[in-house]
Amino acid sequence: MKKAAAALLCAAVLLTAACSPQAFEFDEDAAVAAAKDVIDLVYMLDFDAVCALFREDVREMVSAEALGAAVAPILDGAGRFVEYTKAKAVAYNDKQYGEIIIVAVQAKYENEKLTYTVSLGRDFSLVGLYIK
Amino acid sequence: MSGQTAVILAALITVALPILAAAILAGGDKTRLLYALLGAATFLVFEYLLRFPLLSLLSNESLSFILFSQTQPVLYPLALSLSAALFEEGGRYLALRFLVRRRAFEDGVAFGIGFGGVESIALVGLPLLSVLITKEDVSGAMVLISAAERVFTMVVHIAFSVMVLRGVEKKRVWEILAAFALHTVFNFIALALQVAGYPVYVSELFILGFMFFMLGYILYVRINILGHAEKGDAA
Repeated sequence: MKKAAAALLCAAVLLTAACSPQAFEFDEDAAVAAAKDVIDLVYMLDFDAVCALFREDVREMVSAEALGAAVAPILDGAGRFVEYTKAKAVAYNDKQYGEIIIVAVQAKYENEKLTYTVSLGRDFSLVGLYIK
Repeated sequence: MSGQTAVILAALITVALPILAAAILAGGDKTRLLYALLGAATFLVFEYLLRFPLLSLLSNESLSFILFSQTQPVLYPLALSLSAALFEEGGRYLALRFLVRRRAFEDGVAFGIGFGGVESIALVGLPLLSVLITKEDVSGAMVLISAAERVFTMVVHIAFSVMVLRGVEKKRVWEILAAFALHTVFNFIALALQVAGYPVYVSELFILGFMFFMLGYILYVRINILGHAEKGDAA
């Protein structure tokens, strides 16, 4: 019953999303690969390298220390990386960051699943990173 | 006012007020008290057991839903508002249609107090009690604003309950649909104001204004019922 209702709600959302065209053309496979590169660096706790990937206007707002403090505890609890389970990307015109590609990637770890939302510029420079 | 004093006051408003309101309205009437409890159970079942888990399932498992939430600043709040109206008004309709046998105005009010009261306790009251225990530092003004918002929405829930109860009692589908439509519009505007980045007092003022609008409806129904009763007495 719950799953049927969820599927119905999901179908409605997908239908609405399907009706909205992409903001611009982009290579989805390349965007997903770029997002996974970011996630790999995050998993290796190489926050200096992650910061270096940020687009210049965003880089001044983040620091490797702050990123590490926010992300490391999440990864500590997740355990060893197992595999990427699914990924999807959309193009979006953001008021603040301009034309961006938002990539959602689900990764399976030993103890839990994490969903990363990685925002990239058209040149795949990093604009935003969110982990749930 | 210090943060902790505000938390105590807000906890009293959000926890004690609905319980007190239900007790006073019920008086010694056990059926009316039962309807208040039924209102509370309806909210818990349709929000906590159905809608919240469904939304959580979608936002954890569906990448399309996650991307939809990130890229649709208008449609996403609209979808959330529609789902809230569908589950809450749907639940209210089912409970009032199949479980409530006595359908007086006060019974609808009691149901609404239970429905809005348990929402107030669950969403604000209990979290505030945990703030009190942990002695967490919070903004007194924000705490009081969220408590006031719960009082406003409780009145709105009472109005929706009376509206759906009348729809069921008089077999008027439009009154049930009106509750659904108004609920969607109410949630959507309140959410959209927050998403658009307006200061919190703007959405609170909107909620206050909507509360007065719905309070007007409650009074209209009450006066209408009294008018009919007096005409009946005169005849």
